[in-house]
Amino acid sequence: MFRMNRAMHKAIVQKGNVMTEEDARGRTPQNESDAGVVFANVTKSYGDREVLHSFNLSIGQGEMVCLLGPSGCGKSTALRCLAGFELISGGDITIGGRSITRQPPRKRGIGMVFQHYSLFPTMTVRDNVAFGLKVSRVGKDERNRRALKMLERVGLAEYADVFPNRLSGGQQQRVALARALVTNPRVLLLDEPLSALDAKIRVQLRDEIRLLQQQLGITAIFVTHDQEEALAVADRIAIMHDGAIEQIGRPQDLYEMPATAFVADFVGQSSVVETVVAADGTVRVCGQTLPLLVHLPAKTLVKVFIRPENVVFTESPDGECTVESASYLGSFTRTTAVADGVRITSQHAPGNNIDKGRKVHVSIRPEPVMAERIELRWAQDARTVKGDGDNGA
Amino acid sequence: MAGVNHAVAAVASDAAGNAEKEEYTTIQNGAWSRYDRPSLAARRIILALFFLLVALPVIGMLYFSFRSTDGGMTTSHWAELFSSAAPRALRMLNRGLGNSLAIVLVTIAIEYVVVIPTLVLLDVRFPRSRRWMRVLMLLPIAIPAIILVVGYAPVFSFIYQWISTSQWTLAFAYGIISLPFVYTTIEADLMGMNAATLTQAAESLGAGWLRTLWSVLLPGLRKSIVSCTLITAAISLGEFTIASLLNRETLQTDLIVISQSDVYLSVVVTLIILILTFVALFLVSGAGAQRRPGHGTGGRKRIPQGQEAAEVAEAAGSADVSDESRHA
Repeated sequence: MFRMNRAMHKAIVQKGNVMTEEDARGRTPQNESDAGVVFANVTKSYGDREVLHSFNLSIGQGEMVCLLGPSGCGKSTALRCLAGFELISGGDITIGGRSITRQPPRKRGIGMVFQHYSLFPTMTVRDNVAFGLKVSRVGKDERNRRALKMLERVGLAEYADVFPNRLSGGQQQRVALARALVTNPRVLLLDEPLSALDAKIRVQLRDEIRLLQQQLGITAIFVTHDQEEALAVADRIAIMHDGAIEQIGRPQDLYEMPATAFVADFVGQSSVVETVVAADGTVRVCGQTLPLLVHLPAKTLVKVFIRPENVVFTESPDGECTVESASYLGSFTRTTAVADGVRITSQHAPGNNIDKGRKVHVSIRPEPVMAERIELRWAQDARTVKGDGDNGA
Repeated sequence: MAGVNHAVAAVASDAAGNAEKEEYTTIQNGAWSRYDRPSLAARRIILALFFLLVALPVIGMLYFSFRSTDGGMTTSHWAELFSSAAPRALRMLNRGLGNSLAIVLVTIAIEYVVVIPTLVLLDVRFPRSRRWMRVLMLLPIAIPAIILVVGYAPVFSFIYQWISTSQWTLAFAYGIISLPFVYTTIEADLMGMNAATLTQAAESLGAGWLRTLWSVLLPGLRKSIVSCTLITAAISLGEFTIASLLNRETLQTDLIVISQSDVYLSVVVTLIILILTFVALFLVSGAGAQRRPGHGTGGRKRIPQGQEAAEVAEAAGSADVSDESRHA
């Protein structure tokens, strides 16, 4: 079972990469409505510092791809390169098979929603939405009609004659969305559109954005640092790290089969446990044998990432762990237990709580886990490894 | 990793803009709360002292303008001004005032046509220029006027020869010395309204730079353009050193000449100019205050509905119109 999982994982990870490169090379314009986006070996440097390293990404017509990563990973830069606000240093970007690298932002056929404060303060909501149509010389009646229709779609038609500063943050972002979509752009770019909003509005608006994107069938790129947001809205997620894509795939694949330790750590919550690879390529954590997603030689000191939903605590007086803390989070509870240096978290239904200080027995579902080699620096560490290795084997 | 974060943030223009904007909002939010500001009495004393300090010279001038040469009080100095047989000095002053007003108008025209659009484009297009612009823009203040004149002299000999010998050409010099004030005002407002993002939004919607400037940026800058106009007018009307050293006949140089022959008359005229200036200031700042806020924080504000909303919008619109007409 473990081998099959690893093979499957490898296949999925590779499929993502192969698809990207193939599309980058071989895409030709099929028809006018095709608005797939391809980044082919795009680099971007500021002076001698490269912030995007041969960035390859292919997005199909009507697909929503999230660029997810910590701040400073280059996800916003990639989006701004596509929008034309940054000039790329190398490579090519195409929309619908045509290169837009040399085109100014206004000719690229994009609609963009910014983080916040992007509505024109001196125009009413209606004029804001109609601005793009006015620029492209649509008649006054026509553009007011279309602006109002788009405002209806985002549920703000009654605010058409109000100035933006009278709207709440969520309403302002809805107007920004309407403004970006009213011109029928080929690609919708969303640059952390929800990060300035309250948690509740954030969830609501993100679902609305996704629904609208699917209804209109528009190609979209959504930049975010919030993994929950990305998992909820994206067709595919590209995890970015240090100016390159670490892994791209469907949300579920990323979560269940992370290609690298960075992805495993970044997507979802994990308990990080230090342990040693046994002779058969598995690891032992809290007395359980767990298969690994990657192949590592025996006796390697590793960090493994264990998902809290795979951990079950059962209260027992001779349990090997002690409950350290429990946080009630509404629909579930997260309990953390410790045992000689290992700290492990379980996520479970809120009903069966275990009080702080109780002894628990840990069982971990034997799903394959991601592991990362720990580089040794000190002799002290080497000695510890030896001891642990003996225990593990 | 942290290094990369930091470096990216430092370079990416929008990030820089955001950081600065955050600073701006903190300053706004960090204003004195009602619990730790000075007491009411203390505030009143401070305010009274301030007004006293400002008013003292004016009161002194007013008192002086009613003094007669023999030590008693008289209204003859004021009467002289309005008498039908206006002295020669007054006719001279008329000319000086005319010249000064022409200079003010040309300076403001230069401001509107050249300076403001240039500063806006520079700030939005090359946000990194702010670093050296801030230093550069201090130079007209940092360099004493007397040294500026040394530099201006050859420039103006060229202007006399090729453009015009009229008095209004002094506006070229005043356009430069008012730059620091114009730049600071415009730059602060651009930052406050998040001009970089607005420009990108307009661009992504298909607008070229001219339309972005005209329909997005300049309308948002109305308030600071009004204050720029005021400052420029004040500088152009009040400047003496350069005008005098370049042998120009403006209000200020003529006032000095008059004060040498009739000191009472010069004080009376100065007082009148002061009063007119105050009136003008109140009118313009009153017009500015009526305007709806330029940019919102998106906070929880009362949202007008239906009919009410239309009224609000209409009121805001008509206020704008009246501002513009008054301004024009």
